[in-house]
Amino acid sequence: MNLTTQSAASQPIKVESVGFGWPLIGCAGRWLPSGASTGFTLKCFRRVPRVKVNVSSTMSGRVLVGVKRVIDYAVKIRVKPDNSGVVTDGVKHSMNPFCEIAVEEAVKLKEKKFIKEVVAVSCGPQQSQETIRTALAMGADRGIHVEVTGKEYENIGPLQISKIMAALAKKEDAQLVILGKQAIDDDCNQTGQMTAALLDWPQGTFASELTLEGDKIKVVREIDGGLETIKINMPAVVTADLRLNTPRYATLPNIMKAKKKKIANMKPADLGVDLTSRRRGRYRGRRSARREEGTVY
Amino acid sequence: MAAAGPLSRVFRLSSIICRRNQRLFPGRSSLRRGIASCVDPAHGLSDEQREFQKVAFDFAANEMAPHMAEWDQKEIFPVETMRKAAQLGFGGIYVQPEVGGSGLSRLDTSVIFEALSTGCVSTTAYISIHNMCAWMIDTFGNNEQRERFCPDLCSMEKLASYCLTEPGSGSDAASISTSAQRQGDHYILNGTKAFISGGGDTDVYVVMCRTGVKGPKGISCVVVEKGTPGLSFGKKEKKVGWNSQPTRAVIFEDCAVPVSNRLGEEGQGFSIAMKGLNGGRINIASCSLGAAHACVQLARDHLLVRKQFGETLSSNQFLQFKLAEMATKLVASRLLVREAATALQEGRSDAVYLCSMAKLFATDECFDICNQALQMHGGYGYLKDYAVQQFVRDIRVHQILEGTNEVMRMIISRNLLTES
Repeated sequence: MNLTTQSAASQPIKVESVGFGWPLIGCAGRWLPSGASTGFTLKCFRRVPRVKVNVSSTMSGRVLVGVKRVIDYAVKIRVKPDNSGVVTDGVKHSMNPFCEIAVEEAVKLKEKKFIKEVVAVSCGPQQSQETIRTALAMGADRGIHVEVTGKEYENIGPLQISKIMAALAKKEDAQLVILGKQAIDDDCNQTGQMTAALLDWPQGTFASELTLEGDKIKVVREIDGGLETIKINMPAVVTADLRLNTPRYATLPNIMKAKKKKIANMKPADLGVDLTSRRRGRYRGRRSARREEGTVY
Repeated sequence: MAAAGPLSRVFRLSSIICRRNQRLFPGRSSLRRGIASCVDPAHGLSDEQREFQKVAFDFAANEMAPHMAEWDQKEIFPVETMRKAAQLGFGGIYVQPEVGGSGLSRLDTSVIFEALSTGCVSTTAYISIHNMCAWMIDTFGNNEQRERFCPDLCSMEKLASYCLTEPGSGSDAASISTSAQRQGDHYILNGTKAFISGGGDTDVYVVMCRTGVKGPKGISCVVVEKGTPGLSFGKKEKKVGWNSQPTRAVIFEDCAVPVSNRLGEEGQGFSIAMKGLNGGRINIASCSLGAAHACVQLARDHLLVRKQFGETLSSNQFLQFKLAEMATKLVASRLLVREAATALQEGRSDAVYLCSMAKLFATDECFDICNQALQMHGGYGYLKDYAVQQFVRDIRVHQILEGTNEVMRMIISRNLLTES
């Protein structure tokens, strides 16, 4: 099935607000070809003014890649004694595997000369710089570290991250934002979609194939029913799925070259982003039920 | 932000399918990613060294560990995997960048080999021998030789072997008898070298031969290429471990080698050999460290899982203490090896002795660690389905080659007892 996603500037989206004060993000980029109403009504809250799209060859050729520092996939996670979260102190962390796939795709695009510069972005404490360095060692050109520490960092979620990414995309004049489809610690699968909505850009999520054709992108998406091919205008947001590519190992020379690449430091306030969390309650983790021999449940 | 319970299943599932290879036993390779905190090999390293280590650990877990058993059982020499490693820069780690190497320090090298060794000791040991040969040509060769050999060696287009030991001269290296008669602008080599790692399958041989008088001063170093007439090989030896590298005798029968293949001056060979062995000893010790690290992880996981007498083995105090001793020995060995590497890099006066001490201590202790780990596995440790036995078999030889541990004791005691 071929769907052409057009910029939201041409037709209003009608989606009902569902009480969180924020539109249903999933509907932001999807269209029925006939333009029929999906049956909802929405107030679109735009945090960032609509970006004027200039689709000529004067595009900046810059790609923003978001990378997240998460607990390593091979670690056996332990719940904190007060059930408020997971133990992260002293635990091995590494780059989110889907973010590795995103970085690899961006570097591949640069090698094929479709884009000129890859910028790796990470939001978090000082240690997030290690994750940016890994991205630089894989081939990114420079890094941006948005410093978020302490209590703020514990409460940050996809909404705040997507506000930061949207502000950066505008500031850096990016033509493409590639993110991993989800992070392996929270499995939210929201940041990419929210970023696209805030920027009012088309989105190609769950991408398993990405081709740049002039000023459009052809994205093959993995959806429940199989594979879907869409063509979206640039600038756009794409989220990487598992089969998009196989991330390369950083080579020793590249790791050494990465030392010389710049990582810019900034705070969310510098980007005009407000990090207050809209979360109402707190999730209390529970240990799974213990079963004993002989007990029939 | 992260939650336990149902989400951990999703996390585990997405993490299992997330890896690059489809493996039947994903848990097995993830064990070697260096997780347990007090023996974490990343402690004390700079950020850059941690990056190197991470690449090496990932490569070992994804490309080497899944095939380690097969390579051992079928005696396969994994040239393709080693070439992949070379593409990452592991072919000439401490060779100068202008001839294709990575130009890193001895400490970086030790860290990298330690991490690679958790994937397959035998293959990593061969890679370290190859690195040593490339370094020798880079350091002691003239520009023409460096440019002729090093780029191909660093990319592992061509593989190298180091030929010093002979059937009649092992520990007594200065008594080698392979003769090299000068005839015009060629040396005619006659003799046999024994126990050559990679022999027969490699392309470049760094050979120590006698060009002059008896004793160390008459030894020179020449580079012989495979295919030179007069160069032949013995049968492939059947070994207890190190099965992923072929070991053969290298036979020279009136083998003519151009004088332009000689590294350094005539008579400089022994000193080249000794300098090469210092680094080689650190590399072999590092390989032992990696194996011991993997075995500590395996033993720990086994203790947490295996139940006897109604409890997991980890409740048994003797085993707890045994595991603690293993961990302590591992960290102590690691510190000594890394200090020796730093001393060698800085050219300190105690570098030679530190390298000998490090090799002696680390190989002995790490073999003990792996052996204990096998014991902790009980009967299962003896089965080839479990990796512990391969680590034990593979690192047993580290106490013998690159200078037996007895020779290490000789070197150290000579330094202590010499009146100065």
